[in-house]
Amino acid sequence: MEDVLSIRDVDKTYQLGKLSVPVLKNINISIKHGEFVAIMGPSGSGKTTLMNLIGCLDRPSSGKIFIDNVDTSDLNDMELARIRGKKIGFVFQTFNLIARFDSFKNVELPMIYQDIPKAQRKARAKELLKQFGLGDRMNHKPPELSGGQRQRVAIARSLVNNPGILLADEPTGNLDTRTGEEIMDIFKTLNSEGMTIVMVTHEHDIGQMCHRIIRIRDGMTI
Amino acid sequence: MKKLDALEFVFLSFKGEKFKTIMSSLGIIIGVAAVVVMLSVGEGLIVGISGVFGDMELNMVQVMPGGFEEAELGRPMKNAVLDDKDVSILEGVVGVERVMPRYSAWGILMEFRNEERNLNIQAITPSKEQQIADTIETGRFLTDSDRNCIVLGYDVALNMFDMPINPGSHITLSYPLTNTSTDFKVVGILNDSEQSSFLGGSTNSQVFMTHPAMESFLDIDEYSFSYINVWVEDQDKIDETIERMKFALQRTHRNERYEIFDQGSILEYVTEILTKVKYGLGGIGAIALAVGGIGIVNVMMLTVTERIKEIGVMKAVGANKGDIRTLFLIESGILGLVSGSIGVIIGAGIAFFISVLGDFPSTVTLPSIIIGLGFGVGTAVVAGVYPASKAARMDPVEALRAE
Ligand SMILES: Nc1ncnc2c1ncn2[C@@H]1O[C@H](COP(=O)(O)OP(=O)(O)O)[C@@H](O)[C@H]1O
Ligand SMILES: [Mg+2]
Repeated sequence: MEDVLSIRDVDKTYQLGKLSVPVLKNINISIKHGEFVAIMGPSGSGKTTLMNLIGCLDRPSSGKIFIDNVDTSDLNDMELARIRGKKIGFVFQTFNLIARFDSFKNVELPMIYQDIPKAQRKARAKELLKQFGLGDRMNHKPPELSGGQRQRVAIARSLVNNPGILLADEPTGNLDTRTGEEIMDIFKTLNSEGMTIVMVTHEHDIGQMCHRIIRIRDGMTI
Repeated sequence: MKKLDALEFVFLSFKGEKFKTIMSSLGIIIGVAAVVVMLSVGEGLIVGISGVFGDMELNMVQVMPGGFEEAELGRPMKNAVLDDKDVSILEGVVGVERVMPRYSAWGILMEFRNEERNLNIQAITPSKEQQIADTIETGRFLTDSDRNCIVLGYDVALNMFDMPINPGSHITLSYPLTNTSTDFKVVGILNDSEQSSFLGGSTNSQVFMTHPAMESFLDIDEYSFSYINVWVEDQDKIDETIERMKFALQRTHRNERYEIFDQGSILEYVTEILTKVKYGLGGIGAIALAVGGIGIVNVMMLTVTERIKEIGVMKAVGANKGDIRTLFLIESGILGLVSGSIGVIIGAGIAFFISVLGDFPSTVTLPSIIIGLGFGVGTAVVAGVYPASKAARMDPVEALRAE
């Protein structure tokens, strides 16, 4: 079976002045197509740092990360931006929507950077917003939406370019339990339809639903 | 990312921050308005002054004693003295049509019915001044043998004194410097001449008498001409004719200072100076713009700081450096275009107002609009370069962490 994602001997060290702060040490992970993987660990253990590396928002200090068998450590900024836009969908704990754009524009945004024609963008953004029950919220801006609605906009946005892998960093962390469950249902459905998902979570019962749990402590997998 | 999409983003941000947009544009608005005002007023001055020149006779040349030439080493130069001999010499030059020797006396007092006015008086040789003779309205023109007769310009006769002066009236002229005073009989009045020329001037406020009359009136020892006006036959050959005149005068005026002016070259010279003045004024506008540019840098830096998080989000969903840079450059360029347009409108209004006040033609020319707008957009784009590249270089993780 093909690995969608392969992390090999990855270290990440932050430089704080003269002080070197090792955050990730010798990480090795392989994730296959269609898997639903939970990453769990205490606060400050390096989960977000790892997700940022996988999401090509940051580069490892050493080691390699393969996405669809492409070694991302060889890529320049331009090519990394392209991977972020096309191959990866990212869902954040704090939603990270653009406050002055309405839902529609937020969802359209990743397609704009891939130079997709306007008509096609419009159809696709509408389709996804409707799919997540936001058909009547397309012209609302994030501050006018509830937390759950915002996260659904963010999920729609992460999916517009048909990414091969969906990364979610504590996607229910800012939501109440009931809304969190609704969001989890969306991820489960997406996974059942074949989407590969890597999700950081604190909550045990959420972890239990996943195929596999990767535990991190002090920057190391255990 | 397509430019059109970037434009849409910029539009969204202007819509959201109208007040800030206008405030940030203020510097550019003022700068562009200043450039347009300066260039237009400069242009107006040129058009206005050229208009004055436009009426003049371009085939008139003036020979004048003195000049700006430096004496050659060891050879002191004295001013040439122009007299009847020079008139005959010039009349013999090929290409010369008419030669009119003149004397100008300034600060002469004219008394008529116990009223006194200060005047300039021209002495002429009447037989050589057919042009003036043709403008006699009432009475007769002077003859070469006239002594105590004068001819008055239209305004002098009809507007200068409480009572109009008619041919046959007597007036008294006095020259305060030498305390001489002579009675003259007015023999003719000239018609109303709007016509003015840089070297000649309108005849409306002039008074004419013969050279012998002037000589005895002033009672000075060495009477000579103030200048000699020369009409050349062919305006196109004016330069050659002037050369021949110089050659002819060389015989009697070696190593003496005199100048030959032609109106065309004076026009050229004045226009050249005015053009420099115009661009100098434009330069002042450019400085105003530069200050406006600094304002734009400030606002764009502020915008970048405010939108750090947004830049992080854009990068996270696939924007590359170029996309972000283009976005901010277009934003400052549009800022320049919008505020530049406002500046052009305001500047054109002010220029028009000034031209009405200063009474010269209003000329908000297309080039001054284009230059003004171009400078506005250019300044804004240049001002946007640093903030835009700062935004483009931003690290996505850092940017996303910003609050
Ligand atoms: N940019 C950074 N510079 C220095 N230290 C950082 C930076 N980002 C994260 N860290 C540190 O790395 C460690 C792991 O952080 P993070 O990956 O956010 O943990 P988690 O998501 O598991 O809570 C923390 O100690 C954090 O302080
Ligand atoms: Mg975290």
